[in-house]
This record gives sequence, C-alpha cells and structure tokens, in this order.
Amino acid sequence: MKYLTTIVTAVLLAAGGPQETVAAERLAEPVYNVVSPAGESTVKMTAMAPRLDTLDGKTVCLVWNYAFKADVTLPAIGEALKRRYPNVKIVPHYAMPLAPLPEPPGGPQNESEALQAALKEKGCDAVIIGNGG
Amino acid sequence: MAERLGIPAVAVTNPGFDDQARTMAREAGIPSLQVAVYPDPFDLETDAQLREKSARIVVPQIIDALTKPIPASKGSAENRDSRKIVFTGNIDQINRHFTDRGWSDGMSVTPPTKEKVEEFLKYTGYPPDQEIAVLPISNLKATPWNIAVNGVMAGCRPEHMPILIAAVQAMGDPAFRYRNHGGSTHSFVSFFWVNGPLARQLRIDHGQGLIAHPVNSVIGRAMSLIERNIAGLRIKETQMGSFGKTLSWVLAEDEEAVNKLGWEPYHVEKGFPKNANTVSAGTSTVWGRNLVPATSDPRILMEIMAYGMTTTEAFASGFTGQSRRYVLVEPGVARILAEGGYTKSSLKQDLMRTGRKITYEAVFSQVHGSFGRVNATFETELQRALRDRNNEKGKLPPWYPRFPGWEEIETTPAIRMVEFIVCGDPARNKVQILAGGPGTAMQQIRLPANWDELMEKAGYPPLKSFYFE
Repeated sequence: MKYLTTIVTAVLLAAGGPQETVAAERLAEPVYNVVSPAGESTVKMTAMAPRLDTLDGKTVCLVWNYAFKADVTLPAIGEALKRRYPNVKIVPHYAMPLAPLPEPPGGPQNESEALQAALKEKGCDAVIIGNGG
Repeated sequence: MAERLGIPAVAVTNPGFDDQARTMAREAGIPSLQVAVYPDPFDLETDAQLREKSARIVVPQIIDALTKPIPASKGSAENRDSRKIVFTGNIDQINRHFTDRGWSDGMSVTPPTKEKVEEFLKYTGYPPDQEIAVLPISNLKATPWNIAVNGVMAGCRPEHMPILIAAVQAMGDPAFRYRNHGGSTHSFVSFFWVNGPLARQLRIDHGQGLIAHPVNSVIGRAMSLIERNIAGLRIKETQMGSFGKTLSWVLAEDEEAVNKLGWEPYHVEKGFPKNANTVSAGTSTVWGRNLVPATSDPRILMEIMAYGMTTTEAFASGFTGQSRRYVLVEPGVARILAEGGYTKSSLKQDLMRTGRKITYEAVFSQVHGSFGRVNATFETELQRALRDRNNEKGKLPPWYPRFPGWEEIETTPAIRMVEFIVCGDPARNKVQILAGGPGTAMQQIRLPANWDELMEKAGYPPLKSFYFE
C-alpha cells in the first residue's frame, strides 16, 4: 500500500497539479428552464362529512388498527366520553372489524367493504380510529 | 372511508404521525383529516398512563374534531401541465429551488430541461404520458415523462430509461407491498437488481464494489428521487423511517459465474428465458450483514449461512420468520456450494430447515419487541406458540450445544423466504445478508424497437453480443 501511494503521488506531480484550473477562464453561468419532477395526481377530493352538534345521544364507533396499544386507549376514550355524555352509545373496538390497511386501487377491497358494512349496520354517527405511530 | 359515507371521523396518532396521516388522507382524496394527538410513544407507556392521558389529553381533541365545523377546502387535487416550465435559473438557483420544494435529496441535480427529458424519452418505446404505475403513498401517476425528469436529475444516461420504467412497474406491483413499507418507521430501503444481457450491455456492475459503481449508483439515486417525487415520500411527513432511509442501491447478478456453476440466474429460476431482461425489487432495513465463511466444507458453509440469516431480521426483532432474506453470494462461495452438490433450490431448502430460533426466545422478542400483535402475557403467548404446528422439538440448530435433554428444546422456523443473487468480489469469501419485508416483485424490461440503432449511436456493442448461449 505504501509503495502504491508513492507511485500515485509521483503521477500526480508529473500531471502538473491544480494550477491549470486556476488559470481557467471564467464563463458566464448558463441558465436553464426546468420542468417539475412530481407525479401526476390521480385522486378526486371528497367533501368532509358534516360535524355533529354534540356527541350526546349519538353512536360513536371505535375502530382498532391492531397496533400501538389502541386496545387499551380506545376503551379509555370510550369510558371518558361516556362520563361526559351520559347518553352516548359506544360501539367497542372488538365489535367492529379491524381498520384495513389501504388496499390497492383496482384490487379486491374486502377489508374496506367489511368495515363500510359495519359502519352502516351499527348506525355509527362518528368514528374514532387508533392508533397511528 | 367514514368521511366518504358522510360519517365524521378522527384518527388518534403519536406526534409527527398526525402530519403523515393528514398527508396520506389528502392524497387519498380526504382533504382535511381530523387527528387527535397522544403526546408520547404508545408502546413505551404503561396501561395506566395510556388510560389517563387518553382521557385527559386526547378526548378533548376528539370532541373538537367531531363537533367543530371544518373550513371548506379545495374541491380537487392540483392538476398541472407536466411540460410547464416551473423554474428558470442557474445551477445553484435550481438546486436551491428543488430542495426548497422537496423535489431533491439535497445533492446537486442535473437541471431537468425539456430537451434533456425528450432525449431520455427516445429510449423508452412508450408514449410520454402513458400510465406506468400509480405509486403509493401519494397515489401519483408515474409516466415515462416524470420518470425521465427524475432520471435526468439523478445523473442517469438516457439509455437507463428502460430499467427505470421497469423498476417503477415493479414498485407499483401489489406483490411489492410498497403501500405497507414505503413510508414505514422501519426504514425499509427499496433496492433493485437487474438480470439479462442488458445489464452487461449497460455495464451495470456485478463485481467488487458493485453498488458504488457510478452506473449502479445513479440508477439507485433516480429510484430514490422517484420515491420522493412520484411515490410522494418526504421525511417528517410521509417517510417515517425513525432513523431515515438511505438511497436505493442497484445490483446485477454475475450470470457468467452462475452459468459456470451450473446454477440458474435469478430470472431463469423465476421462469424467464436466459436472454430476457428483468428488474427485480426488494426491500431491506440494512445494507446487509456481512458473513465471512471460512470453510471449504459445503455443509458447514450452509450452516454458517443459516446462522447469519437467522440472526439477521428486519422489522422489530419480534417478527421471527417474517422478513424475506436476500442473500448476496460471492462466486467463490457459490462454487464451494455448487461443487458440494447444492443447487439454489436445495440450498434454500436446507437453509430453511436449519435456520430456527428457540421458541422461548422468539416469543420473548415478540412480546417485548414488536409493535402490535401481542394479545396476552408472555406465558400465554408462549403457550400459544408452543401449540403452533411449526413449533417442533429435536430441531435445535447446529450452533447450540447438545447438552443432556437438548432434544426437548422447542424451536420455530426463522427463515421462510429466501432469494439468492450471485455477485460481489470473485476473489473474496463473503456472503451479504439483507433482510426486508416480505414483498418482492419482478418485471420484464421492455426495449424500444430501435434499441440496437440507438445503442450503436451511443457507442455500445450490440445487445446480442451479450447473450449467453
């Protein structure tokens, strides 16, 4: 390795070194017109659902994504809502299908359809989904 | 989904993931996802803390999210003319602008002028606006045009286009599971390998130092820019790798060495003709774990490989057997295996038979080191695992001592998915083990009809001269 280094150093010295670049002529910097690298949008925005006037007397459905201890936090959220709104109806996470991972467009949407059916069947007025991390 | 049915919804997340959730929802057509934030990492909290903070901190946010009116948002996503000049400036100004817009990785890019992009499109054989794939996370459409823009920026040559297009098709294949791992906190890196004569014609390196070869690395950088600009990954927003994500790397298989061994190159193993050109895509959380076999005994060599693979996993450590292993085998190591009678297929079988983890250990790491599917206490999970039909006695791997009673030790399979790629320094004795998610995909590369003519002009020997008989 030591010998290789000496050879390389000698070759560099023989090549003249960096002074050539010092003498390089300054050129006007070119200007470019450039296009965007971003992908093209394929989605259509949907309107957000109207919000509720109160949760009291409403059916709130809890949906679990099978992760990050939502099986602990969702029941705690349900109990806290019940304390604040005595007439709220809580549908627990174990009575609802799991939150599906996004299913590729054009492919089977089995899990999404199952959740959609349950939202209608249980008469959900609002949905709480957890947990993301 | 609930919002689409007219039902107000709110998602609960950790800090940082609220922006990711909003962005992902917006890109799925939900303009203003409502999020309630739990302040600390869920998995590091006690159940008592989870209950108390949920009630005190999260519930008020939930009530607001479900009852306070949301200001009207834009009715539709932005649609723009891809040919529009978005900026004019010198190199420094362009680099600053692209970095500010989140379009660049921060390293200098080649300015993507229309002229450059049009030059790249000559090498595709596709109309410029044809849909090549719709890529998660952002559900944006990849076209030859925007793939070329990213290729130009990365420093690719126009003749790399067929590989970039096939690689994007592989990324868009649901079998690659990009939707699950692209923005994952586990920091999965997408990587690609090329088989067939095209790899040799384009001088994609398969030997010593391969991923650092300029051709390999510019294609890898282009794929990372495509992930950024077409898949829509941004750190602190949609790319949630806890420690970040490196640039993609690109490999080619040393098919000459493979043929000499009497083994099949990767694409032939998967049913493609020898002179077909393919790109395959995989993921890994690390640039491999180095194994230096120091044996000429093929059986011991297989065992040390099984050891290396068993102890190299992706995800959290608790997902035993769920990561696909990509095993890069140097030709010298492959020769010992082949001369010992191994084919790729029989080697795979032996590795899967040998690579096992003690079930107690697998459950320990599952219960204390995974993010989700833990339903019960350690003891209950252990009993469940011991009842699993894959759990067996008497199969303790050879790297454990045979003390009295060892036959009673229960083990579980640690290796279920294996891909071999023969590459690397033919003068060394290394095996590199990459562990990633289960998703993998493969795509045949389509070349334009006038490929030979284009390549002759570009100074390359004809593709046929790289064919194997």
